[in-house]
Amino acid sequence: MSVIIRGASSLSGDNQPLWVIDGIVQASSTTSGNVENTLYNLNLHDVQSIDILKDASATAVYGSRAAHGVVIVTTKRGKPNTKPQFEFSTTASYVKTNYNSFDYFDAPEYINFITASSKDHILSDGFGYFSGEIIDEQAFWNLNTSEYDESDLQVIPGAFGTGNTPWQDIITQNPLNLDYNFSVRGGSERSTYFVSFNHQDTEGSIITGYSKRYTGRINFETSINDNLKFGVNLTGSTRKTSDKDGLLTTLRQISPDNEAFNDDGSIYTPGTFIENPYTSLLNTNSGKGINFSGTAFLELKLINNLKFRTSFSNNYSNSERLRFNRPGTYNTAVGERYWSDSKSSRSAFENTLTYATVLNRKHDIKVLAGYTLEENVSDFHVIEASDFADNDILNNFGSHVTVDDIYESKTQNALLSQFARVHYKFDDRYIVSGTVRRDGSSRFGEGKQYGIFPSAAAAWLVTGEKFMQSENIKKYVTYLKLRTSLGGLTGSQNLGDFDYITAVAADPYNESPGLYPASLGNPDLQWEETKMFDLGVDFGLFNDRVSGSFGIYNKTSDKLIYDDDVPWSSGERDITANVASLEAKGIEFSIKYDILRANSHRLTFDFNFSKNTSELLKINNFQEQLIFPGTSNQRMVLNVGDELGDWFGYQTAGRFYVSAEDAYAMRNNTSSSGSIEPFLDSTETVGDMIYIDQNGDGEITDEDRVNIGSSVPKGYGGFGLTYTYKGFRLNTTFTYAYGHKRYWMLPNEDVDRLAYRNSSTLIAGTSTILNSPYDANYPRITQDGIGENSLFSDFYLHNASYLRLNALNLTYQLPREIFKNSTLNGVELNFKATNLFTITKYPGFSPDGGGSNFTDVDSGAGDDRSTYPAARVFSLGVKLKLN
Amino acid sequence: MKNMKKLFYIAMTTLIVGVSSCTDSLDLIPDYELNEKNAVTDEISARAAVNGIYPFITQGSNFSGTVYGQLASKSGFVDWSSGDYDMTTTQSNNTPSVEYMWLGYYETINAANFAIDAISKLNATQISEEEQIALIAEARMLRGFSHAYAFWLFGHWWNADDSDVDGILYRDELASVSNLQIARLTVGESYEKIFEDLDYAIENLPNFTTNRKVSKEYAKAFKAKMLLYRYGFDNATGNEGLVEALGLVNEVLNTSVSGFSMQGDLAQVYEDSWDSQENLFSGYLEGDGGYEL
Repeated sequence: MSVIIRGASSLSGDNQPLWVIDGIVQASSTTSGNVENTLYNLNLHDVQSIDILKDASATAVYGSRAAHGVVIVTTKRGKPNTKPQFEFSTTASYVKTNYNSFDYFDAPEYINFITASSKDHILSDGFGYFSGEIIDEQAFWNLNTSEYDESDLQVIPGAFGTGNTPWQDIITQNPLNLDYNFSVRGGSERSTYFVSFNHQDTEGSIITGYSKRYTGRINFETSINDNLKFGVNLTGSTRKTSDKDGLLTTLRQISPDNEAFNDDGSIYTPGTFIENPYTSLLNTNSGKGINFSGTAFLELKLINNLKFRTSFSNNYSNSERLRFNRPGTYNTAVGERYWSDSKSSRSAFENTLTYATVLNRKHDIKVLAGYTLEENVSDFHVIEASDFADNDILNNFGSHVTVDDIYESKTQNALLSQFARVHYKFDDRYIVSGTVRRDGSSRFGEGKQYGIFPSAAAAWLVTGEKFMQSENIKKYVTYLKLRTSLGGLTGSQNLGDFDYITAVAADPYNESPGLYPASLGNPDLQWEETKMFDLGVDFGLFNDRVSGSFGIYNKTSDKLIYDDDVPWSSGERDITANVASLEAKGIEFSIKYDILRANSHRLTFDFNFSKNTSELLKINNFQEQLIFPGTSNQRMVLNVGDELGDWFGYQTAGRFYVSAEDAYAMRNNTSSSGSIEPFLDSTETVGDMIYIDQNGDGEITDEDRVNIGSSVPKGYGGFGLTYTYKGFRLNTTFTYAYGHKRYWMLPNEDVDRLAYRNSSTLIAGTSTILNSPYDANYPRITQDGIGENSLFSDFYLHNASYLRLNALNLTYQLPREIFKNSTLNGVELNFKATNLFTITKYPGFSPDGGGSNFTDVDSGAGDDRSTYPAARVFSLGVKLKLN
Repeated sequence: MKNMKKLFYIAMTTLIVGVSSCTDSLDLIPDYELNEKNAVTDEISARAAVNGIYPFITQGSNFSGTVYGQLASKSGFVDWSSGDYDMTTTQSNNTPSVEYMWLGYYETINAANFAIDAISKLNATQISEEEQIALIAEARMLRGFSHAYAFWLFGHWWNADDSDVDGILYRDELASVSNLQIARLTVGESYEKIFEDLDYAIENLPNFTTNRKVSKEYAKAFKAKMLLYRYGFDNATGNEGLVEALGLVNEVLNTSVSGFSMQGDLAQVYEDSWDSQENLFSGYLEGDGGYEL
């Protein structure tokens, strides 16, 4: 999962919000499933509430790290003076993967396609590496004629395997996942507690893939006296994984005509660069993670209205990866063992003084001053060895022949902040607040470490005014608040820990140590600055039956950090520098409408909509354009004034070359010597792509590339309906996004060069190799790659607008009467279906996900790598409450 | 009494906050990484800084195979490098990637400048003066050497007109953000700068001991080669430069240093490769040289 709040405002970094769990800032920003990720280890059953802070004034207390918004997670606590309350719940989920009718060729289809495509390739470009393995080249030369057609090309006997192996069915499954959770909470007069334990057992969509997790938590708070409160939050987890996702790639790399096993029952290995999925299944790719997070705090009432709070927390995580690849794995002749270990520790020390008072019942004043220090240290070790006498048991380190790598690294950074905030409310009507903070980061060099970031906000509660109190108005407008935050300034530090230093590294020469400059430090690096302006209105109408908010914002980010090209005569190609400015604008709208408000029937509709655009305002330094993802692989080229997320490539004509004359007509001309100048490529012919010659110079060159749509949605959001009737509760959540284009990379890769891979009946099966160019969906696809059909063009971009039923929840609470005089005092049954249906024209696995999201600024935002299919999940759960 | 308690609390708070307000925590030093200021501190690290220049020369083929293919193409003998053969290479149009050769030369030059800069700053307690000068001479030899390659591939080294603007970018400082842009020298100035480095090397380098490092003899031979490039195409200035080159070559041939001698059988020189006694300096590739052989 990843979240983007109010559009991208950085060029590097992930534009992810800051996650704060129980007041403690988290190191991870996404919940990707890696063992290293601590957010993944959050037990969602422990969560009491999640709040999202967006505007600059609200996030100011978190400073630089909050430039992309803040997600505040609060875990459950006990209540004072309550008996222990036990809660036990268990959920079983069935996961059904959905490839959006993407279907691989079976053996006859594959053989038919490859034979046709090899012949096509040879007829227009001669024998290639792959086509030469399928078609008999010697037999062709023996014909000794210039009058030949595809019927003269003979398939080499044995060119194809004799199998018809359904690889996808063999390695995939629809797993059943289990989740058990137990918690108890309660409290005495002065102390409260919440304790929980959770076990999650999930299997992958690839067989032998799994994740098993155990999580525990203790939240304890006690007041020693009226002036002193002490508390701890402790949570720890262990997790074991077996990551088999790589098999989705392996699956694509093996053709169906390969047998799975040799006659003697051993695993068949088709070639050095083709891996049998059965080998992959036997390989080890496991992870082990241990996380511990502990916070202790002390709250002290110094004098009336003045409170001091100090807290210390440490978040420690250790993750190990172990990989063993057997011979037969891709390009692996001998067994290879890889082990890595990363440890990271994040310590935070926070101190705040709060003064809160109300004077004359009208002046509500809150003053906050604080000091925080955060330190991160992480280290990483790798050992890699190969060549083992035995690949099953005697394959530990020590039984190897060759050590391939031993590596160790360590890095650290620190962030220090001082801040003060004043919040003043007059007569519950006018609110003003201001924050000033001074952030210091170890990532900047001398003189650049500190940045000062002020911000201010104001709000007017219109319904607090006398003129709004009349019954006539109150009937319609129950709540109305105007708010704005001005000049809110925050800084970010999206850069490496020591980019300001010219590093010197070691490389031996002639059996003696050697030293050389390994980077070009930029001591001028300084804080990124984001200025935000916010204007919004919150409203409640018709007795609060309709409530919601509407807001606009404008975020200007300056001194953005990105790679800056430098003259190569410096010995380096680029350095990290403050290179650009961006402006992000957007609107946000949300509304909730209580359609039914009866005691037993309740029906609520909610809806939200967001829209954001970001524009490149200027580029400093040596660069003239920002190119994503890189100069050798250009998919987005941004000039000043361009919008972020705009694709840049060739425009296609909307049809293929349908006849040889068609291809000929598009050609530039015939030169004086009589040779034909190709439009783009000498092999261009029937079934190829037609690119638009934008500048009309008779050839297709880099200059013909244009803006071909945006990867940023025109709008996105969600809506839902909640219906409650007695003990039943039905809730649906829909999400939508529209007006954006995603780049489906998979067919582009097939068109480029299919090599040994299998393709889909949807892709190669509908190419011009097997279909008339009028009916085909894809241009010519051959194993060796033909023509220039794979240039980055609008052909591979697809409208990714979608509407999805994200979740459907049905819960039923058994009537309380049943449990009179019993320890059991509540039973809840629930059914949940995730991802039930998606309405979209997008042809890939899924219109979102697939290895990317809207979150990156670069073209990564719209790249669909088809890494993992979408899945439908059906869960059934029961929750018991004991008292 | 109550006030005393409050005062105590306030004092304690101030103490906690005060003690922790220590800004040193931002001045971190990278682990397992040195920097240009602290890397070279004594004779051993000074030697290592000079050693660090060699891998840029011996690894890859910027100073061997590839460059001769480019030069032969530029001369029109072969068409192995179309950009050079057609004389169409520019900064933005350089297929095949001649730009990486440019980068390779300047990486070497930057490594040399790092060594020269760092070693020059050492004082007498850190390194003996004799060793200091010898190491600087070694680094300057390699700096001149790399500039010569950059000149051959990217400059008008053949032009007898010294004021030809297509000389080299000559760098004699470690690259930093404040010296990224440097003006191009003329052809005449380029030769002058390269000769300065070579002359210093001839003056201060120790005699030949191993062909894995540059020596006084190698500096002389290399200078002779540069003189041939400088004056071999120039009929106007007479044969002074050529005579100087011949003198240098004869000096090298007539010195007796152990480990160096001319071989009778040319084929054997190739057979012996970097073990040949005829090599004054060779791109050594075994072990730490960068390739597994």
